[in-house]
Amino acid sequence: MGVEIGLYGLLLLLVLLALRVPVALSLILVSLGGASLMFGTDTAISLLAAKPYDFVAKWTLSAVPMFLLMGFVCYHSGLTSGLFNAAKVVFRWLPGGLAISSIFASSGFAAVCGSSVACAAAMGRIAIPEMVRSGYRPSFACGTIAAGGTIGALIPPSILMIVYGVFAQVSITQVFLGGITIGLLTAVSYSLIVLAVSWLRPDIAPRRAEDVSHYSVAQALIEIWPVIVLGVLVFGGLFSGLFTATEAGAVGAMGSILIALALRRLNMAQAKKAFLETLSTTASLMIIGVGASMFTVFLSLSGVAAYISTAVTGWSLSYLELMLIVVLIYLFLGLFMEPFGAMLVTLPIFLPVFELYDLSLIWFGVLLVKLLEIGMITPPVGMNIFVIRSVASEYASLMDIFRGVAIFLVADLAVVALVIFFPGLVMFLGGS
Amino acid sequence: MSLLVKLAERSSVCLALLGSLGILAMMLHIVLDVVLRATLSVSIPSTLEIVTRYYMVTLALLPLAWVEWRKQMIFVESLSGMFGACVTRWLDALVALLSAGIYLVLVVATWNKAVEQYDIGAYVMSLDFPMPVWPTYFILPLAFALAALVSLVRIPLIITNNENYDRV
Amino acid sequence: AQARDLRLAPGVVQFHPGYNPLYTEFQAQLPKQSDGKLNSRMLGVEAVSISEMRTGLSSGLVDVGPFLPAYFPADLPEMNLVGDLAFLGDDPQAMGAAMTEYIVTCGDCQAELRKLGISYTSSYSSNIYHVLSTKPIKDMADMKGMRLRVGGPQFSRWVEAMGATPVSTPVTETFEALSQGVIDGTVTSSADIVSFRLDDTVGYISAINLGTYHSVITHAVNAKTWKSLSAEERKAIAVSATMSGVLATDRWAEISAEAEQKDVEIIEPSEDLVAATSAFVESDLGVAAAQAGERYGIEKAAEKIARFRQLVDKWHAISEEAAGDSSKMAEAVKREVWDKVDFSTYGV
Ligand code: NA
Ligand code: NA
Repeated sequence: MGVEIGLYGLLLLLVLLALRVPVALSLILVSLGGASLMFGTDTAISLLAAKPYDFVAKWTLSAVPMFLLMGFVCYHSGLTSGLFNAAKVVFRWLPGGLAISSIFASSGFAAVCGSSVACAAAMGRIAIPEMVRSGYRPSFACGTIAAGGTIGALIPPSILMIVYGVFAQVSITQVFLGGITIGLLTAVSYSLIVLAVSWLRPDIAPRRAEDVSHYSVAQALIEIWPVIVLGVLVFGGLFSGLFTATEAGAVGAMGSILIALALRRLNMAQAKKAFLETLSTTASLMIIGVGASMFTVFLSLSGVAAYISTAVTGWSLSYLELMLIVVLIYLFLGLFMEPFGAMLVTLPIFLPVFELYDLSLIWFGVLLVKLLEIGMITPPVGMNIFVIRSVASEYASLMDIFRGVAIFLVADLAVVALVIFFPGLVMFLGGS
Repeated sequence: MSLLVKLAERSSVCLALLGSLGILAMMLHIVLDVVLRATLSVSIPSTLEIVTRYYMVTLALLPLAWVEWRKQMIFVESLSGMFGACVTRWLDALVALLSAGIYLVLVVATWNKAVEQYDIGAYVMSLDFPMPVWPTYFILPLAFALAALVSLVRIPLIITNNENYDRV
Repeated sequence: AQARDLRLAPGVVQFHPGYNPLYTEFQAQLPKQSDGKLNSRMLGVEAVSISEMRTGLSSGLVDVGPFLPAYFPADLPEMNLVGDLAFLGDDPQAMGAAMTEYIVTCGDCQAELRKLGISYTSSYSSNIYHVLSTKPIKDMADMKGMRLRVGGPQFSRWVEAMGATPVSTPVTETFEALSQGVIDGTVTSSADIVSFRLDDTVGYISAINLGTYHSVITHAVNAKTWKSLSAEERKAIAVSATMSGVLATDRWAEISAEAEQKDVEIIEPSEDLVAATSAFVESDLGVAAAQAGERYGIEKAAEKIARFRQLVDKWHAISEEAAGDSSKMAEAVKREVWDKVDFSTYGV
């Protein structure tokens, strides 16, 4: 009987999501209702009502608002605006050099920012106008930035990875280390796409940039020193043992505020924006986490989690077959779901399966974040696309941007395949 | 009615302010702890407990009503195109009603828990110091009650297509 | 008659001694001890974890689960009084048994348990606590300035008395804090080297005897469930709990032995460190009694501590006689504690 309730619960969840009920409340409603059917209303409510408090009162989760704040402060105070110019100094001589520069500028911004939407927004405002001026087809320019933005959630800090680490109970630092590799791999793969496009279709991405302005190395360094200082502060302090990954968020946020104040780039209005965006992002994420932790209890008590994992084990899938299924499921969910919802709804089911298969949960966390980030640039719901559309509305329509980003999906699938065939790739920095 | 709208808006703004202060305080507290540890090798007492029990509960749950007011609850938008504008409006009103119902259930449940924790004077041991944590349990029923209020107040605004969630 | 199914929630993962044997053996014993009247099924840690056990039990979802007063200190001040006295013993089996006899026969403890809505059956004890550290600790001078993680108030006072700094770190962050150098060591049983894979970062075990962690109810029973059972069934639960508890205590010792085979250096403490620790223990019993009165309003704390010490001595002797045979220990607890309890009224 429990398993049936569990399966109906999953079905009901899908219906509620389709009817525009917020992800968090859908999870809470199904969990409360299902647990009430199995154990009575009083038991269900008193059991699940402890979850909101228990879920948020966690030390590691405190890094989420802190890293968000660091990113928003950097963005609103323009600390990161010089990254693009600096990247141009290094990459402009390549075919499609401006696009490649924007990709590596995104990677640099990723080191101070925890989410891909913020990364895409920041880079879009700076790079798209210049790329279009230099002869890039607008849809391709927008697509490059939308794709490059996903690096923001791959290279640490990454809010997705923190929440994953909390849920899967694995070391966040280890997942972060895997994120460095996959982030750089993604940047290189996108650059190869740009090179190829520029080679085959110079009308889309010009082989040589029309020079708008020349930058020297010294000028570039002057522009990006705030980011370098912040990176050294956060990662230097982390690796020299001054503080833990959780504490690094607070140090980074404080560092970004102090630097921005010292440079007189942070006024009251910008600070207010940064804090309010941090707050609303944090609160809307945390309540989904609360719902997901209730849903985990419901799935466990109904026996449906065990039922599914036994069934999957019963099929005795090979590693590659299992991975194929996982990739397809996340690509499908990524079409229409936002990454936190997709991750937290599925983890209760997948984690037991992976434990049975003895897969490294650190490795999987890295792969999972990559898969979820692909969803950020696929139609119909692709958050990065929407963000680019809102910051670069005069250059391209929504459809144009989806078309422009499509070619980068080839690179994404190649990276996913690499990670699946050579798990050691993302694990070698992490060691254990 | 407009009084209720005003109340919902005012309290949302207050919550946003409180939450922002929570973020600022948490940041300063953790940084100070790190700096003191690195320089003088001392720690601020009870940092772990204050961060998890006070700051996190305040800034993660209390602003819920404000998030509802700004319509920033994360939902799946993919099928929205399927419904016409009118259907979507009524659907959203129903969702708001359902949300209010769920929040009210959570209000009752977390209120009972808070009273129980108050009665025993709940604390956690922070090293050798019993750090009281019972006050933090009252944040939850408050957060959910305000979220329920905002959800209810939004219903007529949704139906009359009168939502103005951009303020703050 | 058909067997009744109890819902058990070990609250920890399957390879933890708190699951196997503490709950697997309990599950095996239950039908045997109750003539087949009681059966059970296990709830996973993802449904109810040990830190959520208070809710699990009070909601009625969990019939039997472990209860750690450290997570919910305000509920059980009487039990904390003796549970927090870490330094009294160096024999985990004796500490578990002494704790069981003390709580079963302590009227004030039973009153606070009743208020919390759980019925007490049994306690067990960790293996001996040492300092696991990244730098060697041999004498008092080595302790100066060390930042050590502690998991209880008396350990905290000891660390301070030795001139080091006590730190509270979440248990899941211990590895990272150690490898980052944010803390220099942790006061715990060497079993943690295996359970939390600390051997990559901990290099030394300072083998100074720091007592045991015995503030655990191994099988707390939801009071409503307890009331609904017959006297014989209640006794079956209590005896099963004791039998699985002694096995789990043994299992902790095995893991400790395994841990000490890892790549860690075991350092014998110098005489001054041992002497300073003994002096601390004697004076600290007074501190504990005074605190219990002032902070938590516990009456006759000193007398209660004295009675607990007597029980520790008593069980120390019995344990020596048992000479490592844990079934003899379980037998003794049954004889000395459970056979004297009137189960028609106990814990109701
Ligand atoms: Na990042
Ligand atoms: Na998508």
